[in-house]
Amino acid sequence: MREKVRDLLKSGRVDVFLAYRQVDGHPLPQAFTLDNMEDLEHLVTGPARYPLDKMASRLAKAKPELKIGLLTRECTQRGLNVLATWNQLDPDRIETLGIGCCPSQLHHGADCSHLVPEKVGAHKLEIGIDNRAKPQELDALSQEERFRRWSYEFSKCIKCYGCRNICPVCFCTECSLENQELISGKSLPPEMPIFHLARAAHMAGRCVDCGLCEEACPMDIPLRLLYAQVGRIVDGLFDYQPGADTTLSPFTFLGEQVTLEIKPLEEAQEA
Amino acid sequence: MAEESFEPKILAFMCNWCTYGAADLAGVSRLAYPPNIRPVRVMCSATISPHHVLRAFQNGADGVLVGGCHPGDCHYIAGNYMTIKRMSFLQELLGFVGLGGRLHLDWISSAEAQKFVAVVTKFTEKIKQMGPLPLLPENLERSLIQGA
Amino acid sequence: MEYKYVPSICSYCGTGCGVLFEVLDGRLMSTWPLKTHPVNQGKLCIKGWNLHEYITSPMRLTSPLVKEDGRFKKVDWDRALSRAAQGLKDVIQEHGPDSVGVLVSAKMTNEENYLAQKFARAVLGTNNVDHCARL
Repeated sequence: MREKVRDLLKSGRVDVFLAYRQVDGHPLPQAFTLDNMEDLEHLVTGPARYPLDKMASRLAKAKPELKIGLLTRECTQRGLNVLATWNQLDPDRIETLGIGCCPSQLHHGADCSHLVPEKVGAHKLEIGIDNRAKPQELDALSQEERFRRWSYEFSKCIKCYGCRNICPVCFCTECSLENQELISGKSLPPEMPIFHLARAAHMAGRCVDCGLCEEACPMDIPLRLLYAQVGRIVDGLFDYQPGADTTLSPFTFLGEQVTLEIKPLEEAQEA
Repeated sequence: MAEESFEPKILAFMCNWCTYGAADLAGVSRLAYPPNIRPVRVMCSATISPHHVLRAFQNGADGVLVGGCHPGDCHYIAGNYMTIKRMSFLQELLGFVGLGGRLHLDWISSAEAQKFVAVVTKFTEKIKQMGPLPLLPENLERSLIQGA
Repeated sequence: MEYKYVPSICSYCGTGCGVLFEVLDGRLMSTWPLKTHPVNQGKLCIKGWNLHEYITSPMRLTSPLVKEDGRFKKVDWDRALSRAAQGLKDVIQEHGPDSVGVLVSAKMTNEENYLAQKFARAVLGTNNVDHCARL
């Protein structure tokens, strides 16, 4: 890895390479350039996980002429694809070195911070939602119960905007979550459920299921689960997986024809 | 409040070129339909973002009805292609967090006064059966306590 | 170009969350939570997330201010301190030492807090010392 980064920098294929550097026991994101080549020996690949893709796109926005290289896990690669899809990054100016790991509970080779799911307390299991659940496991619950459980989770929110701030694919300059006319800025917890559902709606066709939002959430709201369901809906309706490649999200173009059917009134009836 | 006396508040977003025309025609034809809907005329059903629907629920609407033109009849050629994408997604998302069935999308052309009446009647009946939206803080607190 | 990430500690409250500042060409761009910090474990509150904003805020106090003729004026430290000392002296002379109180902060070090209470008890002569973490 170090050799590869050195080659990339020396050959001029990248001006700056984003990876991690071990500092006092903390793996911190670091921009390696020709000027600090000696730091390369402290380069590490994990286990901390920062949104390097988001950092790269911010850097690219401030310095469009830069050629940026970065360390990518599978989630970072998906994030880069989504950013390229939404014209936030020029993929020609990005070089990646993949370490091929994915923060999945099923993935045994993963070495990042989301590998081991945290234990969930008994109280939360009873009235809230298990962060480790899969979206389909919630299908068995009645509408009433779902709403009660999600309301409990949403009511914990301290509105730190951490989920949005850390999200690799949240790049808008003006955020709906801060628009006073859409969501009142005065209340805490934020207006429920609009605050979280508005964000979930924005994640449609974008969320790459990296799990950084849930990691950054101080209140352990099962955000990854919520957005995983968003991904599941989008996959079911449009057969679209954000970040799999650079095809456009179904929400960004009208399309040649309507492929969906109106949901009949009776069928939607559910107690 | 007795179950029978619950009158749902339903916000109806209607496309200027079709569903609003249908509502107009229903009125001119003196067709009766439940007075529970609060119509909002929009220029195209595609102008309705998920924010508007969520905002309606947040402000206490028990149901949201979206009326657009039949595919192919959109005044802006293909606006309703986007409407159905958005609304189908939102219906499923609302269902996931426990607000399923409270958002309905239908295509009602300006000649279909009968259909408009039928949809509004059926939707109002359905929301009546489902009961009020449990969003108000006092309801929410109660439901949280019951859950504990 | 200089682009780096500087680890630091949040200066807002006594919790002491680890933060990471994104610095581009000497300008603070944004704040990130320090993922491996044992205190906050990669989480921050809204104040921590927006730490970078107050550095360049025009509202920030960068020098002592003294109120003269109803308006705040920028002065040097000597003048500000002697003015404060004179003010305290006047109040204590007129109303006694217990008319003065000292508020300290959880964001100061133990030693600074110790000095502040010593100052209150030994110099001012009052036990009116309070602290934001004294719940």
